Amino acid sequence: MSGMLGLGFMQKAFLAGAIISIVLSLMSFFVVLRGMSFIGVGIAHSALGGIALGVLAGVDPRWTAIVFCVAVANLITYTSRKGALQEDAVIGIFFSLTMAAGIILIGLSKAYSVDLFGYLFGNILAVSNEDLWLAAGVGLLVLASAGVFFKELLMDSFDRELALASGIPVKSLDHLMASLIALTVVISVKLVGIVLASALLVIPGATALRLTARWQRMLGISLVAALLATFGGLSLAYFFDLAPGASIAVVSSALFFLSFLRKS
Amino acid sequence: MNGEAGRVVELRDVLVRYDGNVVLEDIDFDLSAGEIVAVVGPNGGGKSTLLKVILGIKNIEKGTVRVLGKPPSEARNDMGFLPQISTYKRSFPVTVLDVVLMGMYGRLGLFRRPKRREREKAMDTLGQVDMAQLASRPFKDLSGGQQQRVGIARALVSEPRLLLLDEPSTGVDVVAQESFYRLLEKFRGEKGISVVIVSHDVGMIAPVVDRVALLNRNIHYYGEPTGALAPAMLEKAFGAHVRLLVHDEHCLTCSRR
Repeated sequence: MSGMLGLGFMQKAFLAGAIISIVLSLMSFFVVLRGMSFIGVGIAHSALGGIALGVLAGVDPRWTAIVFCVAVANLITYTSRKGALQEDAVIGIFFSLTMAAGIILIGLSKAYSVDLFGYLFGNILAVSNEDLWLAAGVGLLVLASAGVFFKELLMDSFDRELALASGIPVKSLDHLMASLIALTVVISVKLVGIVLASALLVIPGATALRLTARWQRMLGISLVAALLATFGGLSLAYFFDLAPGASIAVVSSALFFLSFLRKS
Repeated sequence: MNGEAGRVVELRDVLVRYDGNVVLEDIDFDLSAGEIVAVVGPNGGGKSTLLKVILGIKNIEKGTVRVLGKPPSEARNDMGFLPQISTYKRSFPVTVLDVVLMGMYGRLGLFRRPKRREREKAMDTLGQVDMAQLASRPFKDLSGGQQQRVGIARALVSEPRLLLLDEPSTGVDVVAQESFYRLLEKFRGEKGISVVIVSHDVGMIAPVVDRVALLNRNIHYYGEPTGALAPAMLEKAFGAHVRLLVHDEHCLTCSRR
């Protein structure tokens, strides 16, 4: 164990994992309670379009991914509210459109060095100091925003009609949540990649909801589940030479299935 | 004090559409201080929409709406609302106390969290509906009747002058309904609160309210409960022959004081 933690790249991986687990656990809490699992999947996959835009324009893809993801997340929220289509159909359309656009744009860029596999499945062992600062900064912004509007988000998640009647601006909260999910996804991409970030937006919260009927405990359990999954997955990846992102997702899922041992 | 001659609610010539379809038309409706009225009608007749108009969460296309002499959005803190039981998420991880505290979120405003004072107020209100002993229980573990009492505590905790109840008898057995209506009587007596109850069950609600409005897009009748029970009137509002079961003081199977 000390050998693993003595390596600089593993220290950075654990630090990035801890930061992202804290943010993911809070967002997962709301994603599960608000029934937004599929919107999380849609937003996560749109990140590829944002990354590709950056690659094509010669700009840092992390920044284009942030702008693109936040824009797509708000567009999905707006369109599903205004349009005649159900939200899941809107997500399905944006999901495939933005991902396809990303693949086409990367093809057009002729930049053969683009690590498409790394963006899709993560590359936590290559976390840079810049990645860490970005994750910490954006993570703090997400935590602070969700913290400020916590009671309003909680009430709206429980009963939208009641929230409306109390004068809570529920449409704005929908856009806030979509934006926070987008930001969380972008900082998680380096850790677990686009495909698995959407899974981690759901699994810790779902595990916690299986184990408690109190929201305060659900928050705590979601955090512990996310940290256990990240640290456990990283350790498994190091000792058994496995893909780190996938190992994290597998440990997270294993914790979810273990939660069924407790009778509801 | 409350607008015109103590009127708590006043709607004049209100027209509401949903997706271009008229849901409410030519609505004149009023409610005086301390009055309990029922709005009864078939599903899709516009009952819940009428409550939303009073709450100020559904825009009207024509007419005027005043609550305590003000536009509804300015009177929000004077209204307590019990939504239909089907609108909340069943498995949501909240305790009974959490649910009642939510009744104060609107009044607390952004950035402020409930503190000890709010908790004490919530416990006190739970005591008024005989639910204080279950404060720390998960809300989802309660029976329909108990959840309804907690919902009333949540609606009352901000000390409103007007209570709006949307189908409060759904999923609640007859005995629990009886005790629920007695509770409303108690709050009307003690606090002078006015109540609008939306229901599809005119037979159950008529004996416990001061006036009944029969609503099916228009208000077909608004007056004494006995008048609303006339078969011709019910047929006009419900659009079909209605078989009526009234739970009054002669009802042998009803539990009463």
